[in-house]
Order: sequence, then C-alpha cells, then structure tokens
Amino acid sequence: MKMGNKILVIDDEPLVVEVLKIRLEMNNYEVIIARDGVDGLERAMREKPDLIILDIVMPGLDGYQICRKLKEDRKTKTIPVIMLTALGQSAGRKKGYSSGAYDYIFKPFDDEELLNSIERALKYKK
Amino acid sequence: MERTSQPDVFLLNIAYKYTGLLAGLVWALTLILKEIPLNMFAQAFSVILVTVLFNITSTKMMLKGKFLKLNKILIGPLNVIFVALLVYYSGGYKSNLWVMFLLPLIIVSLVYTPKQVVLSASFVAIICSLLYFFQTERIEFEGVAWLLLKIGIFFVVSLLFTKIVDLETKHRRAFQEKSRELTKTQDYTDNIVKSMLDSLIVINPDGRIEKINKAALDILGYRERELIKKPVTRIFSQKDEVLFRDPQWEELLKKGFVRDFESTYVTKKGDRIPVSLSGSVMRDGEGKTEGVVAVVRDMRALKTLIAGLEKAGREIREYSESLEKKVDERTKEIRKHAHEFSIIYEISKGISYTLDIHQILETIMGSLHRLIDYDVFASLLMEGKKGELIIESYHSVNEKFLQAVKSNLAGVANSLLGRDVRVEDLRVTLRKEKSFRLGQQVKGELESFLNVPLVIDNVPMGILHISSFRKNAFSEDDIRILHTVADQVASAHKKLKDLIFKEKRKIESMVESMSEGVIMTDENDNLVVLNPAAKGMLGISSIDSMPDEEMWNYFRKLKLGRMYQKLSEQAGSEVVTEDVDLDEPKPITLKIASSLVRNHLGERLGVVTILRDITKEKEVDRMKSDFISFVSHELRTPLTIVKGFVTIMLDEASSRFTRDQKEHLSYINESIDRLSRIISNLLDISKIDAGRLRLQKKSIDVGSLIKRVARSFRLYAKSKGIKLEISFDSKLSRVLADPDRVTQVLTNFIDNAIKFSDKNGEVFIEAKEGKDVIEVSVADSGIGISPENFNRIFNKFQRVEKGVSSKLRGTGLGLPISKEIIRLHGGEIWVESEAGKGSKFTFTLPQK
Repeated sequence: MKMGNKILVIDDEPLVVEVLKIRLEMNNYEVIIARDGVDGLERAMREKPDLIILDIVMPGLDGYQICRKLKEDRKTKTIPVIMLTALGQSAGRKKGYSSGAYDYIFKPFDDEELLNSIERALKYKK
Repeated sequence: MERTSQPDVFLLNIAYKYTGLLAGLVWALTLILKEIPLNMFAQAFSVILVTVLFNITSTKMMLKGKFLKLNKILIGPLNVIFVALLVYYSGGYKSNLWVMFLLPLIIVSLVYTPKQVVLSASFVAIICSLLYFFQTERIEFEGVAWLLLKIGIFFVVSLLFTKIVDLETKHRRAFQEKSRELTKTQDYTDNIVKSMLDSLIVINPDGRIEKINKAALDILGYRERELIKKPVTRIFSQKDEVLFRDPQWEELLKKGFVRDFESTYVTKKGDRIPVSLSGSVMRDGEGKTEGVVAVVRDMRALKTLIAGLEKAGREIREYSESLEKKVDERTKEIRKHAHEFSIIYEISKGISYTLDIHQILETIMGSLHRLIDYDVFASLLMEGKKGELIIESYHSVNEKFLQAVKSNLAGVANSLLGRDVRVEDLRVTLRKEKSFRLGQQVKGELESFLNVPLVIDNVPMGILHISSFRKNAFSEDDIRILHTVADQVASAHKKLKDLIFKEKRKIESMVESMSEGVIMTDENDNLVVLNPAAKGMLGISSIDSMPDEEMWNYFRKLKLGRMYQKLSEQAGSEVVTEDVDLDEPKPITLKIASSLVRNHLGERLGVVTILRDITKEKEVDRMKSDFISFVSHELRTPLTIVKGFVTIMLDEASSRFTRDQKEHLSYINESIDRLSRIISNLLDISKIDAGRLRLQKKSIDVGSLIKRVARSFRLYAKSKGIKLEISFDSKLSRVLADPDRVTQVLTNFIDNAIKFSDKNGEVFIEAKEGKDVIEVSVADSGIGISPENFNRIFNKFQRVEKGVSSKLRGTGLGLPISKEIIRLHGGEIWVESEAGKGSKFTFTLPQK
C-alpha cells in the first residue's frame, strides 16, 4: 500500500535528516531531502511528494512560512505537512495548525508516533 | 541467522581451503614423481573425489544453515582421514606412517579444539593401522593408455578445482559483505559513543582495565598504554574503590549489572570529576564471566547544564521579580496619582467655593452661639441668580416660620446685595441643632432680625442672618460681633481660594511635565485634560481644532470605553488597569489605569486616566521567553539525533548486536527520554516562574484517565515486582481540567511511588468524590517521608535525604510542577506519610 510513497524532508540539521531518511526508508518510503525553505518549496513543486516533513526553526524561511506558502499554491496545497520541531510550546502547536499543518510532533520524536501520523496523513489525503 | 555462524563460516573457510590445496599438492607430486600401481591410483582418485564432494556439500549445507552441528563434528576428522589417505597413496605407506600423519594433525590442531584433535588422531590411527595390514598386491600398467588416463585425470581434477575456487569466491564475498555491514554498524556505534561523550571501559574479572575508549582517555588525560592491564581503581577515587573490591565486586559479577553508581574519576593530574557508572557483566557462551563493560558518564556537563539553567532561571526570576516589583510600584504610583488627581480635580472643578464657606460657617457658628443669644441663624449664599439658604434653628419650625425667614431674607438681599432675589429662587436647607433647647415650640412671631452682608473679594456674596422671638433682642455689641464674623468668613475664604488656586497651578504644571500620559474627562465624558505625554503617546499634535469624533477614535484605541464601562460597574473609586498595544504613531505597549472622580457626596464628576509606556518591560519579557525557547530547541535537537540513531540500531540491527550491546542501547534510549523529561520539567518550572503556564481545560473522566496512566506503568511496576491496584467509583462525576497536565501529575505520583517502593511492594491508586471535589490519591509501601519534609518536597530542587538521592534520581522538579498545576486548577495537593511505612500523595480537582 505505502510502497513507493514519496516523502520530502525539509530540515537544516543534517543528522536529523539522516535519521529520518534511514527510518523512513526502512519503512519503504522514498525520501527526498531539502536543507532549507527555498529548496524545499522548489522540490515540493517539482517532485510532488506525497507528504512533507517540515522543521520549524530554520535559517531564511521558517516552517510556518513554508507551510503557508505550500498551502497557498494550487499544486502543493493537497500535500499533507507534518511539522517536526524541537520547540516545546503549545502556542507553537496552535500556530502550526493554523498555518495548515496536518500534525505537529515534538522532537525528540517517538518513531511510532511519527510513522502513525504519516500513515494517517496519507490515508487522509486519499 | 545465528550468532555463532560467523566464526563457523570462517573456520570452514580455512579448513576447506587448506585441505583442498594440500590434497591437490600431494596428488600432483605423486603423479609427477612416483610410479604407482593402477589400483592404488584408482583408490587415491576416488579418495580425492570423495574429499572434494564432501567439502563442497558440507560447505553448501553450512551456508544454508543445515546440519550445522553434524558438519562441524565431521568436517575436521574426515578431512584428516582424506589427507592421510592421500599421503598414503602417494607412497607414504613405504615409510613410517606416524610421521606421515603428523602434518594433517598439525593443521587440524591449528583449526579445531583439542577434543576434535584427539578424536581425529584416533581415527587416523585406526585407519592407518588398517591400511598397513591390508596393502598387498600391485598391478603394473604401462604405455599410452596410462598416459591418457593421467591426462584425463588431470582434466577432471582441474575441473573440480575450478568448482571449488568458484564456491570459495562466492563464500568470501558473502563474508566480506557481512564484515562491511559490521563496519557500518561499528561506525554508528562510534558516532553514538562520540555524541554521548561517555567513557566505555572493559574491565576483566580481576578488576583490571582491558579496553578503554578515547572519550575516557580524553577526560582522564592518560594514554591508552598507561591504563591497559592496570587496576581500574587507578582512575576512580578511593571512596569508590569499594565497588571494585570484594564483596561488592563479587556481588556485581554475580548480579550481572550495576546502574547509575555515582562515583568520581581521578584524572592523571589529580582532578576529580563527578561521574555516573553503569555496567554490565559480559559472559561467554558457557556463562563464564569475561569481564565488565562499564559506561561511565561525565556528570559535569549535566551538572553544569542544570547549574547553568538554574542560574539562568534564577537570574530571570530575579529580574522578573524586580520587574514585577517595578510594575507593582508603578501601579501603586499610578493609583496614588490617580487618587491625588481625583481630589484636586474635585477641588478645582466640582467644588464651588460656597461649599468651603459652609465649612467655614459651620466652624464659626459653633462658637457664635456662645456670644449672641439668638433663636435662628441663617446664611444666604448667592450663586448667580440662585441662592442657597441654610437655616439653623433650635426649635421645631413650621412652614409659616420658614416663609417668614425666607421673605425677610429675600427682602434684605434685595436691599443689601442690590440683587433681585425671589423667594422661589432660594434653595432651603434646614439644620437643627439637636443638643440645644430641643423640642421648644415656636411661639408667636419673630420679633427681632439682624442681617449682615457677606462680602468676598469686594463682591457681596450673601447674608448672615440671626433672629429672635424677643423684641429688641440684639445689642450694638451683637451687631459688631456679627460683622466681625462676616469679615472673618470672607478673609478665610479668600485664603482658601488662593491656596486652592496655587495648588491647582502646581498640579497643572505637574500634569503638563509628567512622563505619564494623563487624560481627564468630566461627567459627560468631555475631555478636560490631555497632557503632552499623552499627546505624544497617541501622536496628537493639538486638540484645539480636533472634532470630538476624532478624539474618540483615539480613545477607542485605548479601549477607554471598556475601562469606563468597568469603572461604572464597580462600586467605589476602584482603579481599573489594562495593557493596550498601539501601532501608531509607533508600536508601543501602554499600561492604562483609570479611576473615577467623585465629589464629597459620592456623585461622579469624571474619570482620570493615567497612561504609562511599558514597551521596554514587555520587550524584556519577550526576550525571556525567546531565550527559553532557544534553550529548549538547542537541547532537543542533538537529543533527537541520538535517539533517532539509537532506535534505528535497536530496531534494525537485531542480528548485529549481542544481547548485552542491545541492552546498552536501550539504556542510552532510556537516558535520552529521561534527559528530555528533565528539559521539559525545567521549562515547565521556568514557565511557572514567569506565570506563563496555561491550562487547556475540558471536561474529563478522571476514572478512565487513571486507568490509562496506570496501564502505561504496568511493565515498569512488573519489572520491579510491584503490584499496581486501582480503585474508583464508576459513577465519578466529570471535572473541568487540562487532561495533559492532570496526566502529568498522576504520572509523577505513580512514578515516585514505584521508584521509592521496595520489591514486592504495592501501589494503590484511588479516586473518590469529596466535598465538591474529586480526590485522587496514590499510596505506596515505600520508604516514606518524615513530617518535617512534607512541605520541602514540594519546593524546587529539593529531595528528602542525601542518602536517598544518590540512589534514586530525578530532577526534584516533578512535585513542585504538580503543585503548581493543581493550584492552577484550584485544587489542593498534600502528602501523608510515616518514615519507613510508605506515603500517600493526594490531589483534588474542584467539580464544576
């Protein structure tokens, strides 16, 4: 079912990206990577991933801005976005949802929580 | 795949390669150097064929994991026999057999255990003896056929060797693949070890260091060779040596592990570093102790981190306290100002000077009666066309009497003050002197009158009047006295007016120069005062030509309407305050305080509003919360990486790690979770300090919440041999509370209860209805708390006893956070306990 689903990871922390890549590939997802917001938006347009995992605190565009941009564009607005952040405040969570995120997960994340959320998001998209 | 498969494959590789090669070599030598009988040749050929076939099949089977044991036992001895046979056939039978069999025996003993060597040797001995007895006839064979046969055999042998080499290459590839994966795993492990900065020390059963990693060497300042094979006590302080000496060491080896042993490193330079040691005993396949793998964590970083956070927290707290104090002082000051202004405003606007004259008159009148004997005293004060007539009488008076006084005074006013005063324009206030000649009835007509004009600032303002029922009641002296009194009243009033005027000017200039904005409105909400500071804050240059509508736009921005509303709803002259953000003319935050102004009768005269710019204070507040988010973010990011890799290793690498290694990984995982909890706790505490902990309340069912939380502890409790019991009424009413936060409190209670309980203890969770509350308690059978500590444990960074704290770890923040959460819910939290007999923690949530 989930075989071949393409996930775009946007995060500026290379080792976090590496962890996510390994973990997601272990679960048969195809993973593409962007290190910043501009790159992330471009890849989202070009590669049309099935889902996007998005960090919030990044140089340049932050996660909220990226999410809003994704939701504004006709081509990318149906892609579910899961925000993954080391910010630990519930205010951030509200802000995340209001910028259009499907889910908001705190770092350090629990694998099961993340994978469940991804699965739910993909199902929801369908 | 089994754990043992790697060494087996490796051994097999050697055995198989060397027996094969040896066989080939011997065979080649024989063919070239010796002439041997055909039947012998044929036998030897069959032996080679069998050898090769056997090795190929057994290798294949072992790679597939079939008949591992059987193959392991057979491959050695059989190969020895094969080699021995070959040696024999190549002419060895002519000389001393025992020497001949030495070579294969040496090979076998290099590769296999002694048991197998002895077994092989016995086999060899038997076979050799048999062969020795049965070697009899020889058949000669000459010519072309013999040559052809030799060539044919060469061909077949080469073919077989190709097959062997083929198989061997395949096998080697598989082996290399495995090693590569192993190296990859090794890299991950290295990465983790690097990120954790933990020391890894392998200690042999004698207490000597077997292996030590770079992190440890870096901390200790030793070189590797200075420590290898040296007693491990060298790097720990003397106090901690007990762990490495019997009986503790013995006990550790028996128990198999040690957790979070708090000890101290002694570096080469002699520095002492606080560390926490966790170790596991390594055992070989037969359960023999091979040593101890110790993971030693440098606690400096964590201690510095906590100390740093504590310090930052303290500084922030101090700052916010001083800020709070400042704001408090500010508020007080503003309130004071507002109050002062209301009085002055009252004087300058609301109070007519007539009132002051009344006060003066009253004081004067108190003594006047002692000087003049009169029955009625009246004072008439004019305000424009209207007059206020106050009549003091020592008698019960009737309407006729009043009419007489009124018409008399009105007439006199016309002549004395030169004004046209009509009786209807007089407002009459009747005062009775109760203590004086009470109850005496008015008898007859008033016979004598005395009227004296009251002249203030050269303007006749009123009349003082006395009258009596007696004829010729007032003497010349009386007339003089009344005149003097009138003069005194006039001069006193003048002085008072000057004073008020001066005071008013003082206040006005003060208001003008104040850094706070001041806005005053009268009883009809018309603007009376708007000082320059207020104009600056609102960006108003001049109010002279400003229409009211525009003015009120400004006031709306200040939410003044709402403030006025609040004021009118509240009784008394309460001060109402509010924080308002303005975008224009520049973005600022204002603290606004409004206060009602009333006159002495309690009538509302207007509102005074003070504006204070608190933009800077707010900014500092924002910086503080930014700092907290930053710390949180910076700490959680590396934790995410470490946790991510560890869980990948735990998940994926089931075949790559030994059980011990996996256990170590799960320790790392647990520690990360703990560290992340500590960070969350510290953040919670700083939020509480800043008063920014907010609840997201909704209606919750406490019973099912308890069930859910208790379920999450089931495994932990089981691992400690502790029984968890729940009891609650299924008809508990729902409460309005923040489910996440209540879960946090309950989790903290249960976690503590299990942590502080002995093996076979019991933890009892109960929920019941109290008076207007739901009461939830967690009781344990643990070490208990003495009464003098009941309050301390709810304070920050406090735990009960030193001895306890070294064994049972935590941040000491759980209970203070719980206390605050329950306080915010409007509930209560407490503990009942007796040292040694367990404790019972209880919290309540108010029912709504």
